[in-house]
Amino acid sequence: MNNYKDNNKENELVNSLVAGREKAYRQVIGKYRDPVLRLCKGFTGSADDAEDLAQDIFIEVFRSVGRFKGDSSLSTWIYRIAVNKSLNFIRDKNNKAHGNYTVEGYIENSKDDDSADQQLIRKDHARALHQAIESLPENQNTAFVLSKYEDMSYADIADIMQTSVSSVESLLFRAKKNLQKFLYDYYRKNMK
Amino acid sequence: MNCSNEHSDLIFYLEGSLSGERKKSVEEHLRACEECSAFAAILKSTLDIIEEEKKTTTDEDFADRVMAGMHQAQAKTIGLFAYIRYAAAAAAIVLGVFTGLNIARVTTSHPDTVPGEPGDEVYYLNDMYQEPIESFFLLKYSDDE
Repeated sequence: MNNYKDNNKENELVNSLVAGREKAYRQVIGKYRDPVLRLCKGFTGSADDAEDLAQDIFIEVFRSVGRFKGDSSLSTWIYRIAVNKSLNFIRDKNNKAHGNYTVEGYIENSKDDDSADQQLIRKDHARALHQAIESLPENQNTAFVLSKYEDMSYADIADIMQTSVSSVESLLFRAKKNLQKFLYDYYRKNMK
Repeated sequence: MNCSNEHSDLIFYLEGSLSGERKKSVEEHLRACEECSAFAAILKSTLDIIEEEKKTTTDEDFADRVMAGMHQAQAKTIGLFAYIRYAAAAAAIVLGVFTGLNIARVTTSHPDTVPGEPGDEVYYLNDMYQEPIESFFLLKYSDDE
């Protein structure tokens, strides 16, 4: 019964989006802004890039909502668009300026009472973390970001990535191993 | 104890997904190995960054910026469609004029042309100058005689 009500509400929302009603647009932004921003931060590692990317994602969602067939939930569909746009963003960034990595997002999140040294260390850790995430193959990268930045279940990740739960388990296992190896090599090289 | 074996499980140990013997083995190794213990500390503080990055701040203007971007994108699309419409209309006019000129050229009379001359097939497209078939036969028989 609740599912039926939820489906009805979602259908109404989708119809309003298709009709171009601003109230519906704002409702979707209000509901999905934080998850989309978190996802973008996970992929880009930069607050500014995440903000720009999130705006582009919502614009893409609203412009293509007419093609939403209802095969999945609206949230899954939005996440798929967010993942695709984020992966495209990283590809473009890597093509334009390879290795030119910024961590503005992390600087913004640093606590005011941190000493300059601590901030530098955290900045370096943030840089290492995002270089490690970006070094992962795209499907491992996606599974890792959805799992760690969105705290999603394997089933939800599988739904978004259109794969099986066991594949997600395997992707996450390999992602963590690769991430750890990258970080081990990174710190070993930089601490010598 | 082999360091590389323990390294490979550190991330799972730190996220709390190891249990039993495996967990005990990593803990023992970390107590004994200074290098691995140092790396575990760095790895933990690196992974903790994820928790900090997950925090989002409230931004009242975000929706307004998306709406402004949306209107801008729509305006661009409308502009593009208008451009395509004008370009299509101009192309249709040019095509119409070109086709009309060609048809006119083909059907224009050629009074000096002698029927049957090579390369003058165009002559037959013009009914006004076409000879009745009877005249053709009459002419042919009179030539034979």
